[in-house]
Amino acid sequence: MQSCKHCKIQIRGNKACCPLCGGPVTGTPDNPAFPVIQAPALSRLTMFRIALLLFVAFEVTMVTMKILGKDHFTWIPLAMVAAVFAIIDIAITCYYRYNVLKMMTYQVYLGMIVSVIVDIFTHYHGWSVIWVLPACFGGLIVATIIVGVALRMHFDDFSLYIILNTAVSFLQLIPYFCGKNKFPMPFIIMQAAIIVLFLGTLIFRAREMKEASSKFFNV
Amino acid sequence: MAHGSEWYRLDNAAKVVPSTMAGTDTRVFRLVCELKEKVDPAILQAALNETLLEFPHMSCYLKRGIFWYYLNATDEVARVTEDSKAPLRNIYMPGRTNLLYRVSYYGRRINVEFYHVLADGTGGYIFLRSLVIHYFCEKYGMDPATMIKDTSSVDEKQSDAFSHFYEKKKSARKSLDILPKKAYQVRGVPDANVQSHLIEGNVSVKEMKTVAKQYGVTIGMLTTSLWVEAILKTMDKNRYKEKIAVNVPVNLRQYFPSETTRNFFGVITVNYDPTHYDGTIESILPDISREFKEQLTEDNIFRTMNSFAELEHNWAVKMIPLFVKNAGVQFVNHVISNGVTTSVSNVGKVDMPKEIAPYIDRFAGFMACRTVFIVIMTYGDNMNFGITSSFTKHRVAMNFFRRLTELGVHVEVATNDYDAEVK
Repeated sequence: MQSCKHCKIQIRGNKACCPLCGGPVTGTPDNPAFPVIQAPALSRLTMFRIALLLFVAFEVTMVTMKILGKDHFTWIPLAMVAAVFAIIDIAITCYYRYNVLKMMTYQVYLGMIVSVIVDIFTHYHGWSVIWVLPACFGGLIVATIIVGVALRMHFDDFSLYIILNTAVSFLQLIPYFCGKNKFPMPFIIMQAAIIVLFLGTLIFRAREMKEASSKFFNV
Repeated sequence: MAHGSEWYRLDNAAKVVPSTMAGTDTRVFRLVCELKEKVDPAILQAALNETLLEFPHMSCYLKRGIFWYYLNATDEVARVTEDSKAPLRNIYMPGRTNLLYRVSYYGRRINVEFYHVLADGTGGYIFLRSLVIHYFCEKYGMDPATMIKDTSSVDEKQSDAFSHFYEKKKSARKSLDILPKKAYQVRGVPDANVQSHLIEGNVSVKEMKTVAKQYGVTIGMLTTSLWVEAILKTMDKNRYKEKIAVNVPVNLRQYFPSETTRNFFGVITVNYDPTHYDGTIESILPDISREFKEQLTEDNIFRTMNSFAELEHNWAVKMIPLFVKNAGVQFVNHVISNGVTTSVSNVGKVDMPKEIAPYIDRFAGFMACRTVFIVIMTYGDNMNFGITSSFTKHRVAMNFFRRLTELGVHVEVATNDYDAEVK
């Protein structure tokens, strides 16, 4: 066993120095109590710093180009905003990488918000509420069912996403009643399909949905 | 075994655990049993499968609800692996459906790591004890029924003792009392990879008893005093106005009859005023002994138990959505953490059946933390100090073990860093 003459202790394993004082050790190494842990080549903090640096460098480059180009590059503001959303999207993907459904749901919601914002800031033609939102809600619910079945998840693990998405899809009534949806047919057809799908799920899987709700809403 | 649709509410102490994870404080604890022979992984896996029949509630995933987290039962059993990754690393990762414990081996050591949502130190020890008994029964064909004296049912093991013993009339501490004054914070260079450093010191119980007898205190008080002194020696003089506050978890099963293996502990805080320190252990021991006596009263223990239970009985708190609660808990935890310097947890004397006692060398425990944390476990004549540090240098541990050797105690140290193979 190794030992440290400064700390007057016996040391297990094969140490380069005394783990307490950093001084030299004497004696022969023996059975270690812990495995040798190799430090990762790239820490999570370093990866975060690299991503942040790339983002900041991109934004600064865009501002510089805008100043030098004297408004010649009209696409620069759009590229800068897109970079912000790209970084948010990457963050969502990293954070929810173990939960495909949640990652997918948040990304689709983010996409819907972006489409509405872009529509509003490009002289509002209404394409976001007419086409994008109904397609996204319908597609998201169908994709949720497909992913849940494909990953062999318990029904109560993905039924709550169906309930949530169905409930949130009714927010499309706001632009409809405010007169912002000039061509409501896609929204009405898709919403009717969503309601039928939800009621069908409720009829066939009522017990599981109740159980899932009791867990989810437990106080 | 549990069915996939079964689920459990979190006990009162566990409710705040997921919100308080940060950095190296992953809220994971590790219990170790070191044998006198090499561990056979296949037998350990078979023993784990057997053990889980008695502890089905250990097999579950943590899920988020609207108001609270909950545990979803599963039939999945952990796979025994060789210990090769960082200890006390995250077990729970939001969104990931994985078991909340892991079992590994390394040489002669069996390691079980638990996420604190699942069990406290005593609950974890009961599980490890059963695992080790099953291991030797599998290996040498012994009968576990003669060794496992535990008669508690599965329901008793998974019961929420906080709720069971809660009495509204015996009110908990007033809300403002739980927010402590700022205490000294141990400083150091944090690990770049946010990994915990484990320092394990092994001493003779006889030698420790001799020293404790010399000072007329218990081993627990002596250890706490030595730990406080080790921290004092790292303090700058101009910080002596900041108190040293030591959190000491108390096993509530000693006070309330319960067979639960889930969380059932309270916490007392032992304070020390550094201005009383004159360079001798004699200037610390009386203060620490007095603090222990004042804190370990029946009334105080009841209040600490009730303070956890009140969380569940407060409708205003219950109805706040989880993401808001998480933010609140993180803030309160930050304030509370600033009022704590360190923690000393004495799991106590480990008792194993006489048939398998000759095969076991020692037990050890480690708890993830923000700064430094010491866990004491005793088995036979081996007293083990399991120190967890989030720093790369171990000044507090050095002061602690150097003081022990000065007092005539022989110390054997093992750590998971400074290995010759790693430059």
